[in-house]
Amino acid sequence: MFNTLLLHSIQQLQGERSASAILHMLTGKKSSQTFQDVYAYQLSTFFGIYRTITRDELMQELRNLKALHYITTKEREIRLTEAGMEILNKEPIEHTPLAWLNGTTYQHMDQQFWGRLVVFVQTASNIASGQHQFIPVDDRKEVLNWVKVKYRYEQSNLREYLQRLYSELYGLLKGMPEWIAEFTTYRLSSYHRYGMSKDQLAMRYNLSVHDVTITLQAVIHYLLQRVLDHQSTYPYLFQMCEDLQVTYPLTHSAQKTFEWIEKGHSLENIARIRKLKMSTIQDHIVEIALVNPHFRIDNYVTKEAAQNISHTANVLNTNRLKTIRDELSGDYSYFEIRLVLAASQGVSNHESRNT
Amino acid sequence: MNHETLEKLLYHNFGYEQFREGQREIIEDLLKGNDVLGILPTGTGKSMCYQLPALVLEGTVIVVSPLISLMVDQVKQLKQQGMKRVVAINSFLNPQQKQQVYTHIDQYKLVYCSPEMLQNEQFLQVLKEKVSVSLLVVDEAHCISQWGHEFRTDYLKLDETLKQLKEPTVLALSATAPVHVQDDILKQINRPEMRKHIYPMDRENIAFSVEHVTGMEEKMQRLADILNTHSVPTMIYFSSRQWTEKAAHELSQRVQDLRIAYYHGGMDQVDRLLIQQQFMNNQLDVICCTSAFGMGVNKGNIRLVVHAHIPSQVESFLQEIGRAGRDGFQSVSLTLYSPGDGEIPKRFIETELPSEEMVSNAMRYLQSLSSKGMCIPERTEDIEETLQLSEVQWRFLSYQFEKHGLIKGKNILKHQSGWEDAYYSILRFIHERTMIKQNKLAELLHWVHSENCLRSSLYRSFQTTLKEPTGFCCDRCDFAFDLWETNNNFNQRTEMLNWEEELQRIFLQGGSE
Ligand SMILES: Nc1ncnc2c1ncn2[C@@H]1O[C@H](COP(=O)(O)OP(=O)(O)O)[C@@H](O)[C@H]1O
Ligand SMILES: [Mg+2]
Ligand SMILES: [Zn+2]
Repeated sequence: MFNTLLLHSIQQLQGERSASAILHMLTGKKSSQTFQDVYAYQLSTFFGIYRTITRDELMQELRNLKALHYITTKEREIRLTEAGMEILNKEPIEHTPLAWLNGTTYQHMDQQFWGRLVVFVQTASNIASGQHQFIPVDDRKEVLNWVKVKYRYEQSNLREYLQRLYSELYGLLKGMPEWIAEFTTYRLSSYHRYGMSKDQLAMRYNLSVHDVTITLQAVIHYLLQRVLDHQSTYPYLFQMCEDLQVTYPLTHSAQKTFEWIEKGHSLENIARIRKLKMSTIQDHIVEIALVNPHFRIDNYVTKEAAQNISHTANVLNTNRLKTIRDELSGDYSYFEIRLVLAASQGVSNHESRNT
Repeated sequence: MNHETLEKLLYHNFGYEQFREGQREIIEDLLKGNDVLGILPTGTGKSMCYQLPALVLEGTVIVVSPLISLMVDQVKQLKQQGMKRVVAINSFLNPQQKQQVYTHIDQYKLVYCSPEMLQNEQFLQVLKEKVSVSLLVVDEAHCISQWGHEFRTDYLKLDETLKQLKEPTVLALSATAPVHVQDDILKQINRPEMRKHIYPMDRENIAFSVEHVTGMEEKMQRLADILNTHSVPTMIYFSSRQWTEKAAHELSQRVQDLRIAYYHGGMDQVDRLLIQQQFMNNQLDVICCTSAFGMGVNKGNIRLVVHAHIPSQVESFLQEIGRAGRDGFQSVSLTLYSPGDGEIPKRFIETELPSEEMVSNAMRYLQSLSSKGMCIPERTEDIEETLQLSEVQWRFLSYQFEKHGLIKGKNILKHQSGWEDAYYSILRFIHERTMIKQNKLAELLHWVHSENCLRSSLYRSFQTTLKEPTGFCCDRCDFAFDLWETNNNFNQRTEMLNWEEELQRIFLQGGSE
């Protein structure tokens, strides 16, 4: 599964980006470059879905793909081979759990949500069966604090709470392929046993540990998507992620810039007030244009410029800024080009998702 | 405070009926205000020696502990037992969390921290202003001594810290400290009048066996044979992460009935927790691990501890086998040795401390920084990267440089002469340390090849008398695996149900509870 993900990404990147871009995409690097890349190459659903992977691990996987002749590398350029293409055609990502992933939308909340769910279930299961000695399987402070508060609140009707949570989760798992429902169930910890580790799951389902990580992540995104889209159907699961939502997945700094813009300040003003470089503020604008379909770029590029840039990008079928700028004989700044591309990619992305 | 009251406190707060050997004596001494050095075998309950006083003493008890995982485990366990006023402060806390703890520091009775934290100005200031420290505990105190097997330079400033904290009572604890290390501990923390409570460390219910084989293949075969006839809770130590994984997979195939997994420091936090708890909870039978596993493992029924690779010294070996048979029943330590096995720890010893070239590079680097009027970079990772040093090596060097007056904090003391003297002195020290370690390794290798009673030669340098073994002594005297009868149905399996039933069970639904 992880291989499919890598092959798909490599195909999307068209040899225009190096392994670092893949790494930054997976680890969810908060940089304008990465934000733009994932939208430009339609990989936004993979943004930040494997935040713990290291460069070494990724390079090892890429070496394996090369040894299998699925990809070729020339200096920093990575491309799919015929064989690689075939693999991808045989198992298109729409037919795998990879299709459930939605990194840009959920990466900021997925681990918190899952940690809360797992530890709450473990806690309730243990205490409701009279067992008070157990070690929470996720020891992040934020998670434990949340569970503590929640537990105190639900203490008096734990049984009922468990029953409600059970039927919500059961319904959702029932909608998944059988093996994934089982996989997810075995990962949970309860009064009678601790859950399976990634390596144990990998052995049982004949997967690599990377596959396990990605599958688990896909499951979490699946749950989040259903729960957030149908809050009234899943009120108990909704409580576990309600407070984790943010309107748009922006970096903290871009969010600040956005707030100033909303108040009507010019870019120069904002740069001065925030003591940031103009180029940084411009990065923020591009970032906002990517994620916010209602953001108007007219204030920063003329209609004519926008048309010319879009047209050129389409004709040349590229996202390379320099190529576009050269073709337009340097009439427009990089900022203008990036912004136009971002707006079209961001919006088109949103549109395609709704259909 | 009389005996009875202490016993009541023990029962009410921890649920134990009586003290274990040494606990009461140490606690009573501490409550009288005496400094204590306690040497008690692993697993006997050294922590109780300060946990109970923490309930009685006015003010705060600080516990200095070298391993973050160790602190975290202890704090967890205490919280489970219902002791809430305890906290561990370490570098994993983010600034807000730290601030939160600092603000409420006076509400904690027991504060665990790393030795580095005690050097942190802000933390020390908080302690000085907000609390009065009644007792400072140095856990794993052998780390203080350069003769100890895990020398940690950041322990050496403890005497200074004690002064700043207005000289609280001190309790130093260790499981493995031969006499010269004990003396060094007293000297380093500058408390020559410490009361020594030393208890013998031989374990009368552990039998010893050393088998010589040709190589790894034969070790795996032997392990599979033994586990097939003796299906008991087992830990198998390896020297590398790769080997733990390989062995776990291979043994899973060769031993049908047992549930086998691996554990090492490279796994992610949640998985480490899951595997450790599965083992404690009898969901796993055999664990293939590196020395990263075991700290804080309190499982009573471990019957067999195997060293598929030897550690680098007797002290580590004793600590690791000490996890067997805590419930008092017959257990076995097996060492599988093949020619050349000493090379791995030998290389480890040689590369642990910086080489001559590394020292001179580091000094040249500092001098060039200083000639440009610069300080030492804030991020230690950057320095390690530039100088190609491991974390341990840089920590060692920066301590040495500071000790020789070449640097102070991040500042390089420019007009210091004596760079050359320092250079030779540091090299001498490295050489000396390396020699000590090589000798310790030689001692263990000598034991592996010993023809006489393994038990008596193992404990020789630690104590003069030996307890009578409760069962077998060793394979030189009376032990053989054929003679060892084990109860192979030692636990009931929880079979995995199909997912729908399993989910019901987790949520206590339906008829399956
Ligand atoms: N008096 C006692 N009776 C029974 N169990 C005890 C007693 N004191 C401590 N223990 C238990 O012994 C185990 C080992 O304690 P620990 O302090 O970790 O040992 P050490 O540090 O000496 O290796 C712990 O589970 C602890 O709760
Ligand atoms: Mg201890
Ligand atoms: Zn003997």
